[in-house]
Amino acid sequence: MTSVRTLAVGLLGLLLIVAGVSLWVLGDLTTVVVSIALASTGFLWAPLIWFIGIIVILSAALANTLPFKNYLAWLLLLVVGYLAVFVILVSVTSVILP
Amino acid sequence: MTKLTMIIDLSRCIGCWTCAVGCKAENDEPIGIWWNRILTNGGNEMDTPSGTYPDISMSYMPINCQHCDNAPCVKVCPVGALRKREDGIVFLDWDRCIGCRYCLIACPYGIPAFNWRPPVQSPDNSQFRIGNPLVPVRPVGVAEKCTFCFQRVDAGNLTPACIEVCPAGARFFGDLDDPTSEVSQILQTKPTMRLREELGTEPSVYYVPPRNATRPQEVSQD
Amino acid sequence: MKKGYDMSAEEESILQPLLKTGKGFYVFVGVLLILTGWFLYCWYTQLSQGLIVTGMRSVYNAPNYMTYGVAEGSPWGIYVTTFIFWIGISHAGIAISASVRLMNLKKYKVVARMAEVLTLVALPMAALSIVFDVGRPDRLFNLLEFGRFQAPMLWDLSAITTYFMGTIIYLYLSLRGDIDQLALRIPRREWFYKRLAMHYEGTETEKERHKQTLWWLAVAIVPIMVTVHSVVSFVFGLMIARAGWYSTIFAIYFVVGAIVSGVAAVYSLAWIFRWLYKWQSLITDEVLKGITWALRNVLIIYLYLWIAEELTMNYMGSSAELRVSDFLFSGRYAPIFWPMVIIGFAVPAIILLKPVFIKKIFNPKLTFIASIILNVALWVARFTIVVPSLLNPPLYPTGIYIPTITEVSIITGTFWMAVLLYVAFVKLFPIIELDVVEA
Repeated sequence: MTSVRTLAVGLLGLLLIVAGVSLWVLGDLTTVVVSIALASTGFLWAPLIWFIGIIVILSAALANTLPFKNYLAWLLLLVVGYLAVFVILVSVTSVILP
Repeated sequence: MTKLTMIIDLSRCIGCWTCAVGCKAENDEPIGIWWNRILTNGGNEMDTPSGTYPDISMSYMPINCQHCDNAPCVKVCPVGALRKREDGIVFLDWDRCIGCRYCLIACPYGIPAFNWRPPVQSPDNSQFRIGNPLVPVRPVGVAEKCTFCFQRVDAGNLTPACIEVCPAGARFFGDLDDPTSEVSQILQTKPTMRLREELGTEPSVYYVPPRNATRPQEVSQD
Repeated sequence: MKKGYDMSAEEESILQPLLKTGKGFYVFVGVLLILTGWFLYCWYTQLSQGLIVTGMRSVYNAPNYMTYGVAEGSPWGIYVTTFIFWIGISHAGIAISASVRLMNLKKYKVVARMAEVLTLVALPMAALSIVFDVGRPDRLFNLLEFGRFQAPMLWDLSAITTYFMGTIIYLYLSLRGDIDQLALRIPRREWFYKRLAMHYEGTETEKERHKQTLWWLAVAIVPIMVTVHSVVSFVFGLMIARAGWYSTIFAIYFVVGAIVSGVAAVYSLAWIFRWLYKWQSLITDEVLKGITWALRNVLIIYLYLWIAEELTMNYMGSSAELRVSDFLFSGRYAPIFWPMVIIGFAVPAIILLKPVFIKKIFNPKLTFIASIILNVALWVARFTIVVPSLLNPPLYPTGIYIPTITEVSIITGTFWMAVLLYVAFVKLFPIIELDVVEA
């Protein structure tokens, strides 16, 4: 059962990585205006998807060894923690920067 | 296709810095920042002649963003703040720039300027803006550089501020893809050069070489 | 001292940091906290006043009265230098852990965890160094939203993210067994350790599963480690515009330099812990000798690459490269270049090579001094890579770069925080794997 889970997690990670790169390639091929528009709507956050994909694919190691609920907790911790670093830095600095 | 190109005739340039000041006024550049500056070919200080007396000559090199076709700054910008537009302008998006200064480092011409301190215009911007209202005022911590006056180009006026104010008529601007434009004509009739061609950056700014004139009579009549 | 479990003498020895806290510790942490407070104040100053508070300046020149002191200098300085330094230190972790796990070098298991924690602490400090350097850290989301994969800096961010995530997962999995044991051994913290162990059962199958997973993880992380410093080198090595940077060997040069940094740092840590907690029986002379052997060999390779770089710049370099080289050899940075070469490289090289040629008893203390000197020298070496090339831009040589006090205060903040984080780990978890005494 655990091996299936590990494989599933690994594949999900790979999917996210590929999706991230593809979105970026598509965004780059279309005209500058279109890609900016897409990015502004919040849909084309290609690098973010890529990074989450990296975290997910590495978490396959945790999926292989932890009980499922605990694995999810760790995955959430890693992804949210990673984003939280950006959020904290951005919020703190945006208050101080003129 | 538009291929915006600038030509600077160094045989006419008198090193007066009017183009630099015109640019500074048009774009609300803060104290200390110049998008366009005039180097003197003789040395690091202004108005340094080249050569040894009595065989000396004075020539200048106005330098601004070369809007390269193969721009290193566009390649290295991590957030894509620098983008090459269809018309050839290399545009720096001041809202996206995170201030990493990689473009300052990648540029072979040392062009981009950086807002090290919160920008202060002179005269003070808060009451009266000198610059073109279509050009946003940049915040601290972002890079900035010549835009070929995109605000004028987008409005259909192919005359950037520096071209407009040059008293010696040394600067030209136009669409190289248009065979009837002034820049196309000059490129066909006069010898031109570009800076650091060996790097393969394909700049869009051409220079007509200066004459080593030591006496006024030798300056060309055209 | 409450003991909920009968520990062997060796276990109690390993768990000393968790069981006892002396007055010296509180003084040490207190001083670090004060220094961190100073760092935070300086960072606040930089954020509110702009990067003008540093010594960095733009590349271009114009008459100085026109540029009001914002031009003629180096756009990058000690922030980027320290970034490279921290990435270098981070190469400790997996270099040691991988050797232990993949090559079955059980002897070095005793230093594996201290190396992994070093990586875990070094990587965020590297990222923080860059956050200090950017002009608008409030726009960091732009990296996630608009990041371009053609940009070397995005490669940096990707590689560092991967390396960090891999290391934290690796560390947790190898720590899990010990956490479970600690729940028994330190009853007052049982609630903390029990939750963190996440239903660890400690059966043979589970242990085997962990071993397998960790093995594969180690295999995956080693190429990631090499990639990390290679992409950091590409930020410099691919810049055709910068004489002294544009070089084909930068990737391997940086990676080897990083391994020297990392191994030297692990030696320093191992020696300090051995001295502090009297772990002579655990961190034996044999172990230290082995690390010294590795350090010596990578140092030789690093010096070889470094000499190749310096010679190439100096022998028949372009005028720009000669200017950069002259800055180091005889110009304004000679006062830091030559001490780096003589005290920083030659002295440790002699200390490390001496036992090879002159049969003397291994002197751990001397090697410890050499390891500290090496890391300082490598920081200076990275400074000599970053700054002189930037002061010699293509069209005209410009200015000078001298870091300001604010700048130094900010970047040393990463050192204080790194030590605080490391010390926190040492107080919560065993810095030596409990397996080492349980075999």
